[in-house]
Parts: sequence; C-alpha cells; structure tokens
Amino acid sequence: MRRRIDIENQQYEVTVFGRPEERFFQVADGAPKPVSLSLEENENDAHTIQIGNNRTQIRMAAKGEMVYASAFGRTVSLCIVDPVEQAAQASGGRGNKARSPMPGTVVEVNVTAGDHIKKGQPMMTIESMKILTVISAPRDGEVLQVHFEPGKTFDKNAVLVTLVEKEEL
Amino acid sequence: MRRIQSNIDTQSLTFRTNETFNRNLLADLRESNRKARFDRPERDITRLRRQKKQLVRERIDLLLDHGTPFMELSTLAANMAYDGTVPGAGIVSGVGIVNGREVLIMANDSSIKGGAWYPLTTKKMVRTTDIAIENHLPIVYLVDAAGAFLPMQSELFADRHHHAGRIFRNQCVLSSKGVKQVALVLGHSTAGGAYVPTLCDYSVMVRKTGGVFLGGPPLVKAATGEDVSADDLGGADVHSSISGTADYAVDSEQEGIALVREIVGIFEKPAKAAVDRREPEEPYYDPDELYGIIPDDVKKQFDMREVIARIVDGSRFHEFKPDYGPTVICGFAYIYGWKVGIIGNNGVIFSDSAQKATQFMQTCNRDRIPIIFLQNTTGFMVGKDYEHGGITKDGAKMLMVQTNLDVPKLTIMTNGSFGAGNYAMCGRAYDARFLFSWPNSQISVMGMEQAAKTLTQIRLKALERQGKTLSEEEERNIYASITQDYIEKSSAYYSTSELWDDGIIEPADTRKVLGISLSVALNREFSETPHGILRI
Amino acid sequence: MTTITKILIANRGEIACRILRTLDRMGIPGVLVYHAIDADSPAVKMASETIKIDGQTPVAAYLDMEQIIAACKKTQADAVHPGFGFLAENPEFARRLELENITFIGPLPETMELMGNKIKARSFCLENDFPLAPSVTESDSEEDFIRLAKSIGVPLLIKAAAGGGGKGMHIVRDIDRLEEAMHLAKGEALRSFGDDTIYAERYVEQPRHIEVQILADHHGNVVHLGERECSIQRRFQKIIEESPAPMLAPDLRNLICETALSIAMKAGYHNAGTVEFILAPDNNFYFLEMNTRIQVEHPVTEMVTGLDIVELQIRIARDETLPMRQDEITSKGHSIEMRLYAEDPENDFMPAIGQLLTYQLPEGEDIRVDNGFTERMNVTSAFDPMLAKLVIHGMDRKDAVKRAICALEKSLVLGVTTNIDFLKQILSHPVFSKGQIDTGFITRHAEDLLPTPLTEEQRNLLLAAAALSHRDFIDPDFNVPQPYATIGNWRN
Repeated sequence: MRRRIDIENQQYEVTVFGRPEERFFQVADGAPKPVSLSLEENENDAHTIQIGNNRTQIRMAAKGEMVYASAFGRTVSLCIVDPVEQAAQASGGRGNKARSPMPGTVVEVNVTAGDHIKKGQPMMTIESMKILTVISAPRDGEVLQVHFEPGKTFDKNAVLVTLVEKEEL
Repeated sequence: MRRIQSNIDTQSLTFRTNETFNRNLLADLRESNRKARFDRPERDITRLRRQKKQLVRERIDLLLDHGTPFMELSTLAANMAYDGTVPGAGIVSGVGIVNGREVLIMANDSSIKGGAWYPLTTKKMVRTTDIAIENHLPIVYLVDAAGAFLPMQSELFADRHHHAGRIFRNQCVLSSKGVKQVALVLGHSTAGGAYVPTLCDYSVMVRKTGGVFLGGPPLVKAATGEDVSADDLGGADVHSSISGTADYAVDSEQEGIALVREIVGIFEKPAKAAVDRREPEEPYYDPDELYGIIPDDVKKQFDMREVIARIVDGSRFHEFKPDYGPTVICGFAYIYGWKVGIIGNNGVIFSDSAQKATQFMQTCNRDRIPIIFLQNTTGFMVGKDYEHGGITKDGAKMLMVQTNLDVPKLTIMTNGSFGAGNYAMCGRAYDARFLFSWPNSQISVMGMEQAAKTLTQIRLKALERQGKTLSEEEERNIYASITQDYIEKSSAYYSTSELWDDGIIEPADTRKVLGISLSVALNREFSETPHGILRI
Repeated sequence: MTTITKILIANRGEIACRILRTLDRMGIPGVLVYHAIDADSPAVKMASETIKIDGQTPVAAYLDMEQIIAACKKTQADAVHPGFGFLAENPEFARRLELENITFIGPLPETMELMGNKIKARSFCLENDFPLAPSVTESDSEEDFIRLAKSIGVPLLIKAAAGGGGKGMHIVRDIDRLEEAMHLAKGEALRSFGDDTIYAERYVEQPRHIEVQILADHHGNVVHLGERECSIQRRFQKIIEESPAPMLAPDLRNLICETALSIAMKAGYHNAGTVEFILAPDNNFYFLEMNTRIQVEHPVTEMVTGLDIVELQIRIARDETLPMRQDEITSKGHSIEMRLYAEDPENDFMPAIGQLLTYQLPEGEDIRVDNGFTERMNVTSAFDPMLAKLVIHGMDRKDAVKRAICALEKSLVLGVTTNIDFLKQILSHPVFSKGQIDTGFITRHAEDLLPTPLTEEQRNLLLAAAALSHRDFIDPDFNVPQPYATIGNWRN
C-alpha cells in the first residue's frame, strides 16, 4: 500500500508491500528494501525497526493518522495522509478557504456572508492560549460563509471562512 | 512433473531468420501501440489542457495501485477503420488492480474526437461489459465522452448485439449479479451515455467539467429554446445535491480518483473459484526464444510443445496420450501456480486428434481444470478416406463438448486459425473468457492461397460468360488484388481492429497474459455437472 | 493569630497539585475548584474535596469570583490560595474575600493595586529613588504618549499595565511600527487582564532577567530568599530558570537583593512576592515589576534554600512570625527549572494539542517534577500550554546542567509535540554552559537550537516504523493479489 507520510514539514510517498514475514519498504520510486518492525520484550516498550542493514530502537505511540516517534535522541511526529484528504487539500485550497493555523477560539468576527473583501483584510480574530491572531483574506473576493461564531472553538487546519469560488482564468 | 525437453537450436539459421522476422513484427506492434496510445493532434491535447483535463492514461495511472500491472485490451481496435482516425475506438479498457482489488477499467479517451462513440466503440464497450459479466469483474468507468458519432448512428444504435443499447443492458445485468460498478464523470456523459454512470452503484462527478444530461445545452436550446449552462443543467452539484443522479461531487480529477479508490477499497474481495493451485515457478526456458521458434511463414510448421515450454511453470508439462492423434497436443501444466489443461495444434486435425482432444476436455471439465487453447491449424483433414472415417462427425463431437464446457476457457491465436479448426479450438464465438492474438497470426475461413485461387477462378468464369478473355497479366493482377485484400482482412491487425480478439499481445508476454486472465476468470464460480469420461 | 482550618485552592494544574502536597504535609484540609475539562487532572484526583465550577470558557470559570466565594462558603473554607495567574493578583477578589472573612493567602489588596499596576509601581519606584528604566505611561492624549514614546527612542518595549507573563508585550525596533505594536498590545492586555492600559519603556538590549524572592510577615519581618535568573525566554515566556544566577559578582548580587528588599519594605509588602529587575551589560539594573504572588519558577529557590514557600505563605497568612532570619537563609548548590511546554518548535512554537499517549517524566534524587498531567490526558487549547516543570538540583551549575540534560533524556512524551528537544539543545549549548546568558539568548542562537537534521537513513527508518505500525500500510486486505504482485509494474 502506498500513502503520503508527512514528516518535518516534508512529504514522502511511502510504499509497503509483501507478506508479514517478508515486507518491503520503498520511498517514492527508490529501490524497495527489506524491512521489519519488531517489539522488544523489555520494560521499555521499544520497537526495533530495520531497513536492509540499518536498524534502530524506537518508541512510538499512534493515534488516528498521527504517529509520534522517539529515536535518535529526539521526538518526531509523522502524519499518514489519507489520499482523499490529500487530493481535497490540493484542490480545495486555491485561495478559497481560510484555515486556522492552530487550535483555538474565535474572539471576534469582522465579516459576514456576502461581504466583498480585499486581500489582507482582517476577517476574524482568534485566540489560542491567550495569544491573539488575525485571520486575513487570502485574496480579493466575496465571503461565502463564516463557519464559526465568537466563543466557538476549532481545531488546527479547520476551515474558518470560505470565499465564493473564483472563476479560473 | 517432467519438464519439456526443448529441441530448439538457438544458433541455427532457421532460428535466427525467424527471430529477425518476428522481432520486426514486434517492433511494428510496439510502434502501432505507441501511436494508438499517444499520437494525438496537438490541438486536441491543447484543448484538453485548457479544459483542465488529464489525459486518459494519466488518469488510469493515478487510479491503479502503484507498481502493479495493467493488462490493456484491444488497444488497436478500429486501427483499420474510419481511416485510422479513431485509435483504440476512442476508449481504453483493461484489467488492473485498485486498492488490492481486481477491476476492469473502461475509460473514454476524450483526446480522440472528444471521446465520441463510433460503432466499434460501442462494440468494445459491449465486449468489456460482457467480460465483466462472464468473469464477475467489477468495473470502474472514467466517463468523458461527447456522445454518439451521429453520422454513423445506424451502425451503433438499434441492434441487439454490439450496439449501444446492449451496454446499458449489460450494466443492469451486472448490477443484479452483484458485480460492482463505479463511475467517475470527468467530462460529459450525454444522451444514452448518461446512463453509464447512472446505472452504476456509485457515481462520482467532478465539478465544472463533469456533466450528465439526456440532452446537452445545444440540444435543449434547439428543442425548447431554454438557455442553460452545462453546469446548471447537469453538473456535479446539481446531481449530487438536487437530483440524486450522482452520489459524490469533488473539486478535481485527482480528488475524484482518490475517492473512487476509496470506494473500491470498500468492496469485499471475492473468493476465487476453487481450482488446484501450487507454488508458482518461472519457466525453465526463456520466453524470448519464442521469437526464434515462430516461423516466418504461416505455412511452415513448428512444434507447439516448444511454445508450451516457454509459457508454463518450470516448463513442466504432463502430456496426455502422446502417441495417439499427434496433431493435437493435450496435457496438464501450471501457470502461476494454477493447474490448467492445454490443448494445442501441431498441424491439421484428424479424427484421432479430435477424439483425443474431446476425451481430454471431458476430463478437464469433470476435474475443474481450466483449459487453454493454443491455436495453429489449417482445420480438419479433407478427403474421401477421412470423410468415410467420420471426420465431420468427430469434429462435431469435439465442438459439442468444447462448447458445453463449464470450466473457464482461454484462447491464444499463435499462428494460423482457419476454417472449422478455429471453431473446434474455441474461437471467438465459443465464449473464451479472453482471446488474444500473436502479431504473426492469421485468421480466415480457409488458407489464403486456396481462397484466392478459388475466388480468381470464379471471377474468370464470370468474365468468360460475358465473353471476355484475359491475358496472363490481367489474370495475375486479379489474383494479386484478391490476395492483397485477403491478406489484409485475415491479418491479426484486422482481427483486432474488428474486435474479433481482445488484443494483439507480444508472444513473450503470453505467460503473464494467461496468468492475469486466469486470475480474472476464477472470479466467477463455475459449477460442473458430474459425468463420466467417454473414451470417444 | 488568624485561624486557617481549610484552604480552597482557586487554581489548577501543576500549581494546584503542588499546593495540595504542602497542605497534605501540614495536615491542613484543602478544597479544589475545577472546571469539567480538568476532571481527569492529577490535582482533582489528589484533592480530598472538590467543587465543580463553570463558565463560558474554562478560563472564565477560574476567573469567576462569585462561584469561588460560593464554593468557599459551601465547603467552609476559611482561606483561599490563588496560586499564580487567574485571580492571584486581583485586588477586587482579595477585598471580596476580606468582606466574607475569608483569608486571602497573599499580600493586601492595596499592595496588589500599587505593585500590580505597572504604572503605579513605576511611579512608586521613581518617587523612592529605586532604579528605573526611562518610560512613558498613557494619559488622555494618545498623541502625547506617542510623542513621548518616540522621544525615548527605539528599541522600545510596549507592555500591559495590568499584568505580565509576556502578555501584551511588544518590542518596537522600527519607530514606524509603534502604533501597530500599541494596537496589538492593547488587544492582548484586554483579553488577558481585562485592562488595556499600556506603557512604554526603554528596551535594554541583551538584558538579563534577575528576580528576587521576597517573604514578609505581618510583623514587619521581610527577608529575601536569593535571586533567580530567568533570562532564557522566548517572546517573553520564561523557559528555563535557575538559582543562583550564574556569573553574578557577589557584590552586585547583594546589591540587587538588598534593593529588592528595600522595595518590598517600602511598599509595606506582606506574604510572598518577587521583585524583577533588568540587568544591563554595564551592570546597571532597573526595576522591571513586582509580582504580588507566588511564581511559576519558585521551585528553584526552594531547591537551593530547602524552604517551602507555600508553607511559609500559609504561616504568614496565619499571622505567624517568619521562622527564620535573613542570616539563617542559605543557598546550597545550584538548581535549574525547565518548563515543559506543549508546543511545536518547528512550527513557530505554536501551541500543540493532542492526547498524551505516552507521558513519562524522570524520577530520582534531586529531581522534582511539578506535574499537571498524567498519561492519557488530553492537552487542549483551553489553558496555556505548560505541561510540567522539571526542577533539578546539583552540587554546582555544571552538575545541575548535566543532571538536567540527563533528566530530559529520560523524559518521553508522545502524542503531543513538546519542547523537550529544544530544551536539550539549549542546555547543551556551549554559551549556556558558560552561563553567558541574557534574554536575547534564544533569538541569537536560534540556528544552533534547531533540531539536528535527520539523515536520510534516519528519516527512512522513521517513515518505515510509522508505516509498519499503521493499518493503512499493512492491512492485508489491500495486498496486491497474485499473480499481479509477482508480475509487478508491467504494461502490454
């Protein structure tokens, strides 16, 4: 199976195939290599991951599409991207949606459906852990819908304001 | 199981002459395929890009699982029709893997006449849906078609078989058999074509480019004077939110393809029909050697065992009744681990060879062994002794048993396929699940020279009755033109153009093609009627 | 003597736990108010008595004086420990409690008003000749403010008058951005403290942030517990604090501490408080502000002095005399505190949320962990992102730094991005180990503090580990069947 995995703000197409006893790992169109993941019987709950001749101990915890891993003296988050989400993000972006950079609460809403706005115009103020951020219009256009009202909370990457579809030139 | 002992000398003159001949044919085939798949007028490509559409094969590549094969069918359909302006009949079909599941893909090529339906297009679509019915194979449709090619509507509309109506009928039959169908509408789907996605179990439409309507904006305007845009008439949002004709609306082709993959991923994986299977093994002999084995003249003979040795697992073959009826080879082998029965020609079919084949087919049928037919025959033996010996009766017996087989059948035209031999050895009319041709193969009711001589005589006699006599040169010219026409119409390219086969394959690929075909064929359970074997 | 029979803790998280620990040791019953979102927190589990409170947002609940007072009455708590933040420096709250005869464990409301209002505090210092950096406060005329601010010149620091903690603070280096900074600062100040008054002061470049812990009883005894260095900050948020301050000449140290003491005495201070200074490279130091409450970083002082500040707060509130004299207060060894934040250093330190799937913090001698979370709890955006404080004690600074790095290496938090790796980078930095720190440390060495980039090999191992533990990759349902898998990438 092949999926995109995001790590450190980079994206990689990863393929895993084969049988449980004989698995192969491939990044993009590179050479597939034998791979195995085993769980050590120790009090640490550490796994050992091996690709070809390289191996390392690793501790992991996963939830949903996120995998949190600790290895090489640091912690790294990996996100396994669902292909439909991936395609939707790629196409739906196009400056029609203003998304939240972090989870938080809506403090103030400055626009409403039908308003004509200019690029950079403040549309909403949000607050996260007592830090205020202004959400500005990504381009000139018309507001289609504001999705959250003051006092409501939202997650990271939530669509806060949608603009009316712009005709492609 | 013993391995076939090959007697081929790869250094011999014959081998090398054959190889030159066949590799030329191979080069021609590859070039023809390339042109049919990729050569398009610049303006058509530009138009597509402007419409923000991907090319059909770009879409298929995104749809299929990474690193998996795609067995394309009838790439060269219509190559000798419509002045060659509708390569592949404007539609791509083939077997591939989507999210781990075997599916048939049928995708309009809108870079060819906007994806319009020609008569051979509908024939190819009917054939594809027939394959789906016979093998219980789910279909993914990538719909992007301008509609029927009106000037030829009389050849694609009203008839029972091969015409458009049969496509939708097949879709309904598929639905009732539980064979899944998914459509992604990335362009227009007009008039009858609007039924393609609508009869599917799942229909995804791309916003702005997808449109489903019984009559498009121009037709609507002409019929009622109503002015409406394609999107407002039958766009993605209209059908997925208002009319319910489609099930999903997406913003891009990529999103649509990802969504179709997700839908296919929900289908259950069917259990394969139970046939004997063991660990696969690559052939002992190199399939590439086939190019030196196939002769450069259809009249020249070769030993079919040499072909079998370059197709089956480990080149192992258990030949049945080797000393009886030697012009037909019967035996058991494994292809990618599946046990199969193989029936191949080594010349003209005699009574004893027909009887042997008949007995063998009964065994395979009782024991649930799929059969592969490797054709290379000029037909049944003619002559007084043979007629008195019952050759016609024995041929009929072979045909009777072959036609009524329950096990899946696959046919490869390796060289000549003439007359009743074509029929008895499971030609197109006999419901092989898949039938492929080698590029060197020929197919007609009788051998070319025989036919040409006969036709020339008839023409000369007709002219004589009119009081005309011809010089030797004029006689030769008539013979030549008849021959020319005959050669054309009995070639593999003509056969594939008319969809008498499911495509021309490279001989060295035969093993892969049969492996995939077997896998597909086993998706549908077959039940056998228990019977004893008649030693016919 | 004031009797205190039961103390209500009007706070949450790690400080609530920490206060409960002292109450437990002292044998004083405690009550904890909590919002539903904190129901699973360790503090709520520790408390023997709890009262649920509510609000439009979780923060609003902890700011709701009426609910808290009602809770006191309901549980017969006769004292409130406000912790830090929330209502800790709210004079109105202190007064309301006074009216209800509930002891507020902290200074008098008047002191809070004086010192809590940055502008009043600065005027107070000015009047009493305590060292101050040039500044300007708001008046009726915004034009005047702007003019005076411009005359102080850049770099300039805009600050909220009503509170600290980095909220409402903006450095202006380009005088044209003064108004923008003012606007933002006022907004934040209003949100965080309910008061949008700001002031501007000269910004000292490369200042060290030195603060002094004060304790004062109601009998005229005022002592200092030594200084803390809090220069490792990012956007005015403290990250690492230590005591004693490294590379501080004894004379200067004494002068700073004595000055703090004088300020506290002059202000008539009671209970625990901290006087914060800016120490300039030229060894001039200026009053920054006084925090009229216990502070987040108080543990480092406790580790080196061996004193329990919360206990002393309670005893002071009970009207007891301070149990020690200034000369009896000693500082042994060196202590470093690291604040563990749920934030993503690679995403501009945005607060991170998620579930603490793995949450293992070190234990041991000389390691103190003030923890607000347990494994499997959710970190939300409702409160600020501090998860815990790791406080280390060592024989000297070098030893403390070594132990601190060791403690971080033994820490494992998975499920929420944290600044653990970032802390490791800071502590391992040669300039930090030399002790040559100031508030510009993190900005100046930002490049060095970036995580060591992964090699391609390491990255692939991580990708593979993630893939092989995720269903999407290994679910056999999506395996390519035979013979397709053997045939591979073939087209006819």
